Amino acid sequence: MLATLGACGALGGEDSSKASGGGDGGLEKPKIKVALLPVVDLAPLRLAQEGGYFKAEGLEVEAVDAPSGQASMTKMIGGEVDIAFSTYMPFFVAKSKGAADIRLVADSVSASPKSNAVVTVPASPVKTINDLAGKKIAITDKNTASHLLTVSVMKDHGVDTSKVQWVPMALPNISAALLSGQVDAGYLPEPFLTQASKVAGATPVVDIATGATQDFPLAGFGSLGSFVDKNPKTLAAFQRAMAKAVRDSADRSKIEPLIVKYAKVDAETASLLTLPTFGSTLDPRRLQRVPDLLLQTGVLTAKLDAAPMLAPQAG
Amino acid sequence: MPRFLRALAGLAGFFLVWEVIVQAGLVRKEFLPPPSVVLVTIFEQFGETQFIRDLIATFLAWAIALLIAVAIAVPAGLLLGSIPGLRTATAVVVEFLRPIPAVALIPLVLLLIGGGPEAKITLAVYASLWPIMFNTIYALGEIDPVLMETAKACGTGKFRTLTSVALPHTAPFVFTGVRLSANIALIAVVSTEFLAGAKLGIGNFIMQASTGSTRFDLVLAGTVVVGALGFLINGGLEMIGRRAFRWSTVDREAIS
Repeated sequence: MLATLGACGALGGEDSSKASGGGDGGLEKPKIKVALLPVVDLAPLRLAQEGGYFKAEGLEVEAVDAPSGQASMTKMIGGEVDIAFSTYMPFFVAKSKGAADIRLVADSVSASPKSNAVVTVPASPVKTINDLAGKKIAITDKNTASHLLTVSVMKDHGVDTSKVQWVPMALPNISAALLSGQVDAGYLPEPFLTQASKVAGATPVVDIATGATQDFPLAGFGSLGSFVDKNPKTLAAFQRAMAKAVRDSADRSKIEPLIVKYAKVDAETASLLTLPTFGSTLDPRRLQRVPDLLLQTGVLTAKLDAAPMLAPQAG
Repeated sequence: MPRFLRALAGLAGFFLVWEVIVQAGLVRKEFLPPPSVVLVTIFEQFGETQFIRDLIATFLAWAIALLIAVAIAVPAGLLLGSIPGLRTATAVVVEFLRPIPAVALIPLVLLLIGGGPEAKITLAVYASLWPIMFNTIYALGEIDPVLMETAKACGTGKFRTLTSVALPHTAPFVFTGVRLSANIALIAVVSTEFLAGAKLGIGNFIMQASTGSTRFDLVLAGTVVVGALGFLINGGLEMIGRRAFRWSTVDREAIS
């Protein structure tokens, strides 16, 4: 039985090819596992994988899928993967609670205009941002990026957020919920934004990339302190490959097929959607906006300094 | 075989109702693609190596889990069924563990043994142990005492009685347990892939298609394929059961 299990690369477990992989660039760990989500944000990483950018650095990156950023981070804390992709919020919350020694390894995306918005449908009573007070707004979950960014944008416009009914919901379900009147508005990132406008005639009430949340850092890669300290060369190789991939991601024709393949978006939506701003190098001052927002919205109770959480940045 | 064909006719009817509901506009096509779309998507996916690998990973995990469950549950059932004292002593623990849904143990299993294929196999084994074990215990309790007395009177040893009297009698019951567990194991494997995320697996395929996307046809394609897999597994086991235990009427009596 054990022999069967061992021989089953087909099961998706430890690969028997562990010894292989061109790991002679002196990397401490030439093969790493990264927990990923099926999202548009990861197009550059998919490019680095498919285009052989990691291989060129002597690094083999094995993808492990996770259903959410929180789950992705749990896989990392549990030791199943070395690096986790998530929105920034869970990383900072885990750090502030002392749940894990989180280090941020590489940036992934920031809010670009028209890539994240609070939307409404024609039948909804919500017409402008001022109508959002006291309404039912769909978000992915409390204290996630979707919740806090919506709160921040509403506050920017002086809209009362205290009586809003937040309705947690999976992103693909939000356009249906808007159509059926189950919610009055909803936070949507791409590609759901394009899909909702196509399917439900959804229109933005407010673009997230405005005011206090303009260029807001949305998601990135995190790891544990122990891994970061032990594997500086491996991390630098990962960062260099990602930096190159992000540069090449400016060419949309390279990115679109990867979005269709990995984020499971249909080709038409992929060609229409607004891409977020891809980045790879973390800037402590810019990233500080995330824990600051968490503090403002009361998710964190004490100020958290982002700078010490940053792993050394290559190039 | 005609039974198999009749079953397929029912399935065709189900697809027809689904198609009509969508085409009549009762549900939006974008949210619930009709079977005419989903079946084409399934056909396309069978040309994708990734999908085939997902399917194989799920099937292998299922097969391994069921084998392990049988290997544990049958001896355990025989032991508990033949030693009443032991059965009484363990009854509370068993009744406490049995109702815990395998998926509720996902967080624990992820922490203890990680999220690799071991996780889904462990949970599927856990979920599918019980029907096999209970059917084994039940079967031992149901053995005609006359048979056992006769064996005893003929001077048959304990071990011999177990292998040539008790086992042939219990086997069809045990097999019914295995058949029930086969579907339970499949459910556990796919749910774990879906809820915990994995490297490969149909549950993982459905999860990816549902969280990251606007492609509900992929979600349903994965779902329909899991259904078909369960249908084939059950049909296959039913056939094996009918051939292997011709003398038995259990299959016709037991809940299936």
